[in-house]
Amino acid sequence: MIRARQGDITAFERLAERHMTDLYRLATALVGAADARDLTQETLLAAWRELPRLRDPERFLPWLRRIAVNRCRNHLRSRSRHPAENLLEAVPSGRSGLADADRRLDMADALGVLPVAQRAVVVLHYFVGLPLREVAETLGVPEGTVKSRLNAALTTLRSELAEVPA
Amino acid sequence: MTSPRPDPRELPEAVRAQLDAASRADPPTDLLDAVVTEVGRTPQARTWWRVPRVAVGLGTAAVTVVAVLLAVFVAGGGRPGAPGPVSDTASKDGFVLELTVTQSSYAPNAPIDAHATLTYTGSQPISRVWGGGTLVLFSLVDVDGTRDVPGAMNLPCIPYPITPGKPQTFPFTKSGGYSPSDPNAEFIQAYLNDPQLRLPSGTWELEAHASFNTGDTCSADPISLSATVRITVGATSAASLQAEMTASPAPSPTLPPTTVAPVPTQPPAEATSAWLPVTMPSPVAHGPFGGPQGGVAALPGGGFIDFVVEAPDRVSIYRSADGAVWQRTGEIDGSGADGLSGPIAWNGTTYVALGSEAGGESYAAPFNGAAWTSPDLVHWTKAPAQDAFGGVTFSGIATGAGGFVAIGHSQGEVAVCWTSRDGLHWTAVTERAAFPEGSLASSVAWRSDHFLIVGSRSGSAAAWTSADGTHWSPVAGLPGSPATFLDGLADGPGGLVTLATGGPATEVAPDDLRSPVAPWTSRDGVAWTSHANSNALFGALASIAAAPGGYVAAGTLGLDQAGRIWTSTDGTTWVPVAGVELPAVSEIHLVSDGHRVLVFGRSAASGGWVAIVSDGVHA
Repeated sequence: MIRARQGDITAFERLAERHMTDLYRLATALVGAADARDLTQETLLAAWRELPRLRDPERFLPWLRRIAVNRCRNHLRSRSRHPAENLLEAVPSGRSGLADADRRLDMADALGVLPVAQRAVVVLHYFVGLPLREVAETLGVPEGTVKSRLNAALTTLRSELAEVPA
Repeated sequence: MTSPRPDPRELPEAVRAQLDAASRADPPTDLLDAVVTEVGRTPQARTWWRVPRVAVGLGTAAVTVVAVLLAVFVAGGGRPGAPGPVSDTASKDGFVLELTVTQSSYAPNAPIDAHATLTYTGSQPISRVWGGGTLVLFSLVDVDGTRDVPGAMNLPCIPYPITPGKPQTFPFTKSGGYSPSDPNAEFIQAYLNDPQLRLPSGTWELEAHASFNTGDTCSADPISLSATVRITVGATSAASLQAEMTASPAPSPTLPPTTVAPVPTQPPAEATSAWLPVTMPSPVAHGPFGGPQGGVAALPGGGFIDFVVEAPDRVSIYRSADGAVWQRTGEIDGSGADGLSGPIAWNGTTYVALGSEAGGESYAAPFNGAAWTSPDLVHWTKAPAQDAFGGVTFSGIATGAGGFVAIGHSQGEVAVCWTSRDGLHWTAVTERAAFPEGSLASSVAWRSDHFLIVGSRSGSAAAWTSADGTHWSPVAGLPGSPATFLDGLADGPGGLVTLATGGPATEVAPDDLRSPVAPWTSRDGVAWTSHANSNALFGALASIAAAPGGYVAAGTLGLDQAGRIWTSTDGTTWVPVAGVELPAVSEIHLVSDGHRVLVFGRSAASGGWVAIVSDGVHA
């Protein structure tokens, strides 16, 4: 870490290799597989650029996740008119008995209808497995805000799902 | 008191499947090489405070040269590009959200003028929409960096008037928060503390978000709109460059360090009370006592009651005079009986017990309030489903002139207190003047001729009084305090006591933020005296209650899950109790009937309950 902060590309490569899969899966969960590659790359490049500004190397992973979430948020907002289209690609066809295209559309919509901030909370909590306190740290918001967003997200998801024919 | 563990079963199946698919996605094999290649072309950022002094000197010289060139440029009649207003518009279902910034580029730390408008241009007869604590929320994103201040607001949902065709203007307002361990904490703190919108150099995106419903609820599919404007701050235009170089030292973009309270030394524990381990009634079929189903409450007049869930429609009632010996005294049958939990109030003829009811059958919200009445603690009548209960979580009840007053919180913060004459029919108190958005109530009591609520109002410690439970006034002249919340009420030998909490926190260990706790005392609930921060209670998340001889508090300290008990004879000087060991608890509760104090907590390790009872505080 220290060597990477000092500009050692080889050291940074090892850091990137260690965290790339997790970052890629986080990006896939947030924006879909089609854009996960670009966003993972953007995240790691931003991390490389900003690494000297990271004051506490112990907090590297939350910091890295936060960059990834921010990049994904920007990306989602830039395509906010059609958030569900690319998300479809995150869902392999034929899984869980949900091969039907319409059903898959609904499934993607279940996350896609969430405001970006709420989607980030759901993914960090349930997908990454972070306790709410760490979700708050990653997003840089109070834990109460995370709880509010999670509550609103679950309400919306349940509401949306209730509209999906069984 | 602790963050719940993520349980994916809380998610709809479709979402779980989607996340499950993402969990098995592997990055392309050439991605690492691509990253490394780009890294080799990308210089790392350098923090300005690390620039060696000689480099600063060179930098100053370079700036001087550029300034001279710029002066020549301006003197020669050249005009830097005049950045005009920039805006972005989003629309849906007839609603148009427009975010406007008066310039596209600014000098560092120059005031930035931004606002949003929301207009309904559709043909529907819409007169109001329902949204969160603010209809339009603003966020800030550092496009090339990591500084990001997402806006934050309270839970939905309250109504906002809408006049078709008439734009409503929302000036850019800041909201959000940060953790002290956040690498950008200083920046975010400075940003939030500055009443002006001013930014350091960089490329920034200002975002406006509007999310609301046109129906009379926030639970339906909301209309969400987002508009984003990108601006440049810093040496990207001649005008801004000149301003940056010639301005007197600007308000620092990186700003002063966070002030933190010192960590006090804990006083030694003292044997001020005797505690007896007790065995609480066990559920026969399923469902723990306490927690989301069933519950323990102190009885007005003395004794305790435990509602033990045996089935969703059947609850056993146990009573105890001393908290130690329990007897089954009956059962309650009927749909939703498992939501009966207490607390309980008694007006001389009727007991009223509060509780909860799941959504789905009568309510859209997942958690809703409920109430039961009884003349004898044996026969109970459930209040009908009603609007006042929708999205409500009750936490306290008192009785006095005007009937019953319950406190709690509701989805959308529609209210923090509710009134009822008979315990069966309730009305939410929606006086926004007394209870603005974001108000919180922690405890309610009746004081000879008025109700008293303590809690938080507009981010500060607050108390309210009411003669009838319906019309409320904030208590004026409360002691000046950095506390944001008055937590709990106990009426003991030293008068009324509450704990003022939530002031500036100290991170005593990674992520372990602890705030000072100052006892406040009052004889009448109107005139309050604040006392010195309690060393014993520093960082405590505790409930308090009156007991013979003094006061008792039970809770935890910061992230330390060990259950703790403190006592005080006068409400102002608190000491931890020696000789009582509680395990790490995931939750801990305290109820007092005025004669005995019952503390019960759920073991974080086993999930089982432990309970102890005491007859009071001994000096």
